[in-house]
Amino acid sequence: MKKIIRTIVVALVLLGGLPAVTFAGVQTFTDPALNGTVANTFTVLAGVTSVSVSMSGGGGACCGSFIVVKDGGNSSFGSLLTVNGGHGAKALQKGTAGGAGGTDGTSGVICGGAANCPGVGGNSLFGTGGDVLSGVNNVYWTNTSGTKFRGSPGQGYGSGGSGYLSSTGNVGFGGGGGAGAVDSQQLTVVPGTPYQITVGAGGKWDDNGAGAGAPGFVSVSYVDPGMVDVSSNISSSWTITGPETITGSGTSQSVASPPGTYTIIWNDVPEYTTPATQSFTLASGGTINFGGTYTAITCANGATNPTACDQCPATYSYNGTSCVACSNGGCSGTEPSLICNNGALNPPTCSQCPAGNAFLSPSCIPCVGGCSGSEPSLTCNNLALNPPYCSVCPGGQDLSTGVCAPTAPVSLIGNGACDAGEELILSECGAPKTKWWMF
Amino acid sequence: MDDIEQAGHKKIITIGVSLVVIIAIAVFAIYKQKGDEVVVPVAEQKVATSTAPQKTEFGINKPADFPTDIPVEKGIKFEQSYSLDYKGQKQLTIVFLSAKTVKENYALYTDFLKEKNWNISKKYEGPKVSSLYGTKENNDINVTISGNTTAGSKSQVSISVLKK
Repeated sequence: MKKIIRTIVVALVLLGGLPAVTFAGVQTFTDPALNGTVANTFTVLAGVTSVSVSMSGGGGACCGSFIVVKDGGNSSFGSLLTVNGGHGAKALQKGTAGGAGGTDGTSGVICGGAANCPGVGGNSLFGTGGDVLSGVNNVYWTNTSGTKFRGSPGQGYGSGGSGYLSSTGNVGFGGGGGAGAVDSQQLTVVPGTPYQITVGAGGKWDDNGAGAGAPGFVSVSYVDPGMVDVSSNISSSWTITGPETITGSGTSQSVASPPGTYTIIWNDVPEYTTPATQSFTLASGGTINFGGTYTAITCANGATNPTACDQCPATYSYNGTSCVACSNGGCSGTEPSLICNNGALNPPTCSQCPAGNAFLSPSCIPCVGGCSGSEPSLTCNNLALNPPYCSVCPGGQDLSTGVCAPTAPVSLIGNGACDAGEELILSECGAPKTKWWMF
Repeated sequence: MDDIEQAGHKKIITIGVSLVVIIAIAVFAIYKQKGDEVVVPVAEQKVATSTAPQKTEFGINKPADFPTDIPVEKGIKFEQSYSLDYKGQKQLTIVFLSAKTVKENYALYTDFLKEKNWNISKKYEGPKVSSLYGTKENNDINVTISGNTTAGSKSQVSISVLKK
């Protein structure tokens, strides 16, 4: 069974049953009923900037009058392109072509009902004029069965109908002229724009179609657009050049565009490196993707502003060339509001203490008992010589009284007076000396 | 028993071959019918590809087959030089920094394309980027010029040629 299935599959492939994938759009407008003008709208797809148009007007008809003619209608694609219908014929006179791409019909003659009495229809690029010989009968009026036979209509698109005989069978009417036509003309169009399509009707005399001009048509074809996609890792902007120019911003973009080679130029973003230019080719129905990666620029000296590199991160100070950490216990905050953690006033060195404090690395020490002034002119409030400890008095002085003052006699130390029964003798308290031998 | 099995196999084979013949006739009939209809010309069709193109780098040299008549400033170093192989077409790209301004390069390449009978289908002059897009025979060309003051230059030129 497996072998049989395999055989069938191979057969299908060999027969070419799988069509090639194509990416061209085609729209054809015509009037299948031969008569009547068809008006329509063709809206250009996004990304399509050029179309190829083939079209013809309606063919001219033969006639049933010596005066009146029945022209074919004009066909048009918006206001960009128009082709004229073929001109109708009348007795003994041909209908002329509607323009380039069409040919005149031939004139009718006076004869005795021979096949060459009527004229044949003119051709167009896309059709053959009615031929009297291929008509059912070139007799104008009814035959013995009561059927009316008239000249042959034009075949295909835009060709003229053939002439036929007058009722007497002596006068041949001319063939209608072939319509003007164009084949695969390139037109530049605007994406998204609707274009009015008019299709010229074939000229006609009656509803039987005898000697009628063939209807016109308009065919519009185009190459399917592809997609140009853009992505950026940060919000940025760009310009893309190619068959179309695209500008965009943000972090992504997707635009339907005609096939061709596209190049992107990324715009600068402050403090970021700019991605290099890129080029890719877009195929019909395909997609290309431009991806941009911006990288933040860093300062070698530790600063946070890549443009000037003079602003330091928190707790660091800019010394003119680089960012340095605070000494003596560091800092908090960010310049210009940097604060020494040791209370000093001068980041980043942090060695100048506020008034009343002395710098003893790494700290600012408040004076014992207080000081006045600032370093180097710090003065202990208790007149001691060694701020911040304020504990050493000048020679002969001490802090027994709380401030540096001359040292009191030993015997005065305590309450500052001699005990009862004693008197101060040579700066010492002692018993009074009443006898000469006590000295 | 073997005879019955063989007969069964023959039946299946007969059915299979018949199916193939019927399908062949149907496909032929469809194509024949299409042949009788009025043929309306359609635009040339391209087949899209979804596979990534193969990239070849050329370092300091121009890509192989890069047109020799396209003007390239003397003494420059290529910032980029590569080819991309697509199905049915090949893209050749060079990028270099130029001592000429954007305006000067735009005029230079406009004149070149006109002299060499390229059909310039798109022109663009913007505040930062100018470009020209042209077609000639089976080739396309994209010349894109942008402002660039790196290393003493005045502009950057990117030229891509698409050979079909």
